[in-house]
Amino acid sequence: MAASGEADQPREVEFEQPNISSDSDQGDFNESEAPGKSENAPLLASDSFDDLSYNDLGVNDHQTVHRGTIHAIVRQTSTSSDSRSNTPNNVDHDSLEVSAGEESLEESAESQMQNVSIADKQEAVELAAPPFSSDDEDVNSPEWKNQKKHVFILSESGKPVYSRHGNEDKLVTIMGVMQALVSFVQDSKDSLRSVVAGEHKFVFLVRDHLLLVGVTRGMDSTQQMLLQLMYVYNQVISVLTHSALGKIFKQRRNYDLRRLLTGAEKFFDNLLNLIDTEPGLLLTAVRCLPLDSQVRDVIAQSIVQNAKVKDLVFALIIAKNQLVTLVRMKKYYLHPMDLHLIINLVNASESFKEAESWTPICLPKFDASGFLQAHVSYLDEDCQVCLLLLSVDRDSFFTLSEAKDRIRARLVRYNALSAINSSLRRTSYSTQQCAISDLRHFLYKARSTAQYTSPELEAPYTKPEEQERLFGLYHYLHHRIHTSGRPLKILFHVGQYETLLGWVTQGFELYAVFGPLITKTGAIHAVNRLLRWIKREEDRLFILNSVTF
Amino acid sequence: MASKGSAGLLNFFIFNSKYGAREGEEEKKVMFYFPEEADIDTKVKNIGLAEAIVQFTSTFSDLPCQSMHTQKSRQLYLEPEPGFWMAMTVSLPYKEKTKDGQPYVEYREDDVQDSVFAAVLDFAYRMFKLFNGTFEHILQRADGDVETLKQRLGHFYNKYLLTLKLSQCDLLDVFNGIHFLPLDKNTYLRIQCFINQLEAAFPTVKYTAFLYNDKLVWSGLEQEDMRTMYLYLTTSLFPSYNLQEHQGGSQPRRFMTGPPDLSDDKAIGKLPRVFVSTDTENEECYLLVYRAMSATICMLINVKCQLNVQLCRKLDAMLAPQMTKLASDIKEQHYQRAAPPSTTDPMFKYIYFNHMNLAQQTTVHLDLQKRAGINIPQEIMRLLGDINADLTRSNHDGETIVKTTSDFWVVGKKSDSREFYVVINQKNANLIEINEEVKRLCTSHLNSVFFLD
Amino acid sequence: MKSIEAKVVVLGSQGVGKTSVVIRYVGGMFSKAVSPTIGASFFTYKMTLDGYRVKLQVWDTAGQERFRSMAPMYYRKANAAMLVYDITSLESFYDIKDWVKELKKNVDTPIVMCLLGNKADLDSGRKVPTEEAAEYAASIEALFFETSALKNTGIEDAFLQVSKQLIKLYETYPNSGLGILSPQQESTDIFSPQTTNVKLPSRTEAERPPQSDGCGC
Repeated sequence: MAASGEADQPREVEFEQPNISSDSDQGDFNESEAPGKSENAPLLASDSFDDLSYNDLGVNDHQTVHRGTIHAIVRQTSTSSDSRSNTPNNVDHDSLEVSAGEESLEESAESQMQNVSIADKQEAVELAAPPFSSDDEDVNSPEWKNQKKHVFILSESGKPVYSRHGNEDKLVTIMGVMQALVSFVQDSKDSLRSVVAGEHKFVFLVRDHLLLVGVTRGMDSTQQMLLQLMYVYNQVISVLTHSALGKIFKQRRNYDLRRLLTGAEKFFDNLLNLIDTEPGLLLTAVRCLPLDSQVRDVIAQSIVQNAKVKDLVFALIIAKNQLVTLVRMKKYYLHPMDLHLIINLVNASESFKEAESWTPICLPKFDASGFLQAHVSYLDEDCQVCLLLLSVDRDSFFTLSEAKDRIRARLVRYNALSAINSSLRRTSYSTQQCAISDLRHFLYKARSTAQYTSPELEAPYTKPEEQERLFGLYHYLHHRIHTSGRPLKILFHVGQYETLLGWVTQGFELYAVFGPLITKTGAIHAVNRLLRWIKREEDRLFILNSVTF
Repeated sequence: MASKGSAGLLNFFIFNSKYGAREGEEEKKVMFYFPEEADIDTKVKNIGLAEAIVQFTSTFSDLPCQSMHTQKSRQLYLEPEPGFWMAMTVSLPYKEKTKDGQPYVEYREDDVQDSVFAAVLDFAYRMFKLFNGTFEHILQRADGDVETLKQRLGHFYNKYLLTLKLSQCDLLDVFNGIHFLPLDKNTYLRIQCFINQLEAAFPTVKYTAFLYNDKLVWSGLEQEDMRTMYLYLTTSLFPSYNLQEHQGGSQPRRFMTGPPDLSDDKAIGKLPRVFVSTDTENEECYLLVYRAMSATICMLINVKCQLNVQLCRKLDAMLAPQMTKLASDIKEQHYQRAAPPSTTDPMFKYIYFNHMNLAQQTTVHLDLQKRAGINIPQEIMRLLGDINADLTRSNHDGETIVKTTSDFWVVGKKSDSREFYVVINQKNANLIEINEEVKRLCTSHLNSVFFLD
Repeated sequence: MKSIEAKVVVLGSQGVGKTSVVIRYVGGMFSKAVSPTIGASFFTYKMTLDGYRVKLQVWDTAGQERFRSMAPMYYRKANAAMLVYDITSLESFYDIKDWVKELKKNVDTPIVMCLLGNKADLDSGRKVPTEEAAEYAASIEALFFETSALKNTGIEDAFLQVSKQLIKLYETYPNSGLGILSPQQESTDIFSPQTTNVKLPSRTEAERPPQSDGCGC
């Protein structure tokens, strides 16, 4: 099935208060329409965070893996196109093969087996007794232990695949323990989800062929950690495809996946840094680069006019982790989680700055079973504005390369490139621009478009540790509002250093941070003004019109 | 046919890894295991998992492991004394549902709150300690014989665990506070004077506590001892006594514990021993409980002192007239007071707790012992638990006001060691109005509480 | 003047310096912190040689194992293959043999092969003797150079010789798939030799008709 769910949300029912007209700010939240709302969103409105639960994971795994979209496009375009396309598009869904000679593969797997002795379930029981004492293991270093957040990926058989901190080779024992714990619980027809110890939360996610473990002592809730592990799993899929992953482990249960992920560690590292600093991943929403809507139209039209290329599914421009524009093939939408992986790819890859690149990328929400082929290039000398052309045709590099030149020429001609660059130089906007006193920072997510906006981090959130604390407050707000079984509409919290307000309607989610002394009336007043300001600026802050080829 | 289930006890065990460190001797680690009939493999396996989890988390955290969440259950951990670990496994509530024609079971993970069940586990230990002393103390007295400890544990927990009603546990279990009876100064002083007389006349009575119905009036015990004893009295001793009395003894029994018949010199009756730590650790005392009308007095007498029916007769002679008088005075005074707040304002329900003196009040629960249930939806009750957990974690004073998707307003406040939670069912109110309402409620309804603190 | 357009694929294990070699040749510089290639990077290089305008389309491929299976996409219809190993790594040299096998199996058009022993500046850590490599190159009829992207030795020469071979190839097999620019195209083509504008290829290149005969890569 194609990921073609219409982005239409049910029409806005109504907001908190029936008497919208009362503009007296005497305690009512009053906003008639959610700013940034669009019936015609470029992104697939994200799955609601509330829907993300273990119930949707594990059990019906095959249902959550999107497959076949690429095939559908290939089939559709090859039947509709003229006879010129005599060579069938060779989209190889299982193109990734374990290419090394079988013997060498066996050999290395065998030798590694001896290191991981805990892989066997029978041995799991005895596991508790010996403390992890081997001297050269990273677990003994206080620096390692004190890391704020650990993320581990291991294979089903307990073989280390990735660790955010420390060297996987030196974490064989602890990762073996993780695998043993998970499989032990599985033996009794149950599944291990999380463990709490003091400030630490340990979250376990078992997906096809892999086990992911997150350890945090931050404010991230279990549910939020789970989402983060989903991103990490999707990153693996993005590099290898779900099909290839299955094939590899079908061939050899003990395969050392690190062989195939060499060079991809930086994607995981970078993704985890983004997770800790970019609210968009928490909100499953994307931030757009603020631009006048006419400029944005010019950019989108430049792409539409110059990249009418068969089999081109998505064309997008990204600048400093923000979306500038997105043009898509009719009926196909980009999921924000996929877009974050694209942003991560760009953000983590210096090599794209050297030359035009042609690289495979799998978008798990779009189609986990195959690769799209991405033409990646920077449009400006400073390598800030990145154009990505994603096609299902592996042979279209030169066509896309030419399209890119034409797009760039047109962007230059209409000064759109310089408009992008000057928006980048302005570094988003300040809360002062909203002219609301006491408002320190906010996140505003338009739910129907899966986009969000937020101002620059300013005093008192200039130091990294203060920013981390602010981010923790957002995690708290977000978590409490979205707790399954008892979701909230409004949360007002007076804490020691700040006052927080979270407000969720059908149209938007708003998380605002004020100074500690603001009154409740003051906060409500401010929020209503803020919503009016966002409404005024919505053309600039959001992409409201979806453009298709 | 959709079935559902609520939270229940799957198992409960206590182990000490010291006692079975050698391979093949794992079963020696088991100090206690419920259900008893589980086979040894299951016991060893489950203890092994708990050990592994505890060990695993210690690689990352210096603080002890608290809980493990699985798809179907929750396991809570407590290390009340060095080396001794207690674990309690609770099954998650579930519902059978169908999705796309496929039946599946939805386990409600968020319906079981760590803070609540951690408190249940904590009190399971405290209750044991009240009647048996610490694990170490038992071992010391038995010259290190583990079997004695195992017997004690088995004897106590096999009964105690059956009394747990896990599906009814909520925020009140976290507080485990004490309901105090507000009284005018005069009456209060008279009670204190009476107790002074009693302790002067009977020096063997070392500690005393005075209750009226289920509410505490006066206590000479250390606060934590009183908290556990209060829980025992109100959830176990009083209810079973009341039940017996209802079933119709013509003559109400005055000694709830102790001699059933004062004319029979031989029968001292059931007399529990308790271990308190008010003066010294693990001080063992008899707990003699005497009731007159609705007034109850608890007298703790050191086990080294002589306690016989003769002494009880003497006590009765002094207690009977005075207690009866005090009980009727309290009753009269109580009738004059306004009816309890819960009936005056159906829009508001609140829970109040003071960490300093453990004072607790609730209009959310239909009776103080939670037997009759609560008058707000379960998920709102759990929300109070969430807010409490948030405020506890931040460890600062704070205030949280929320509106749920079901249009309840809930306010949680923590200041100066006091916590106050209000549930307001007013769909159309706004934040400012709610704030005003709560302020009013604080001054009107809780004034007496604040004064009595 | 005649023009030929040739597709050159750069193959080899990860970390042998493929990108460094290409950047040294095309961009004339060396960076210590070259980041691993993702997928493949595309460069063009133009020169005049022996009365020909030669345009090299260079595919710098990623050496990481996960991209191994993508390689056919890049070497298919290649006119030349630069096979790069690291003289300090025996393993990277052995990997070349796999590459050669694979090319012989999958490429049915004539192809110029050139073996490059890179990191020649690290002679003290040498594991692959020059003679052995030269012998091997001879056995597969490949050109052979030892190069250093750091010191800029051997690279220029290697590409020059490859280009000469390409011209020879074209003269021997005019239909070997080497693209020819049409005469009209030539007149507008104002390229200068040694163009180094790789980051943003020149507009002339964009105007190249898409059906420039065969070399569709």
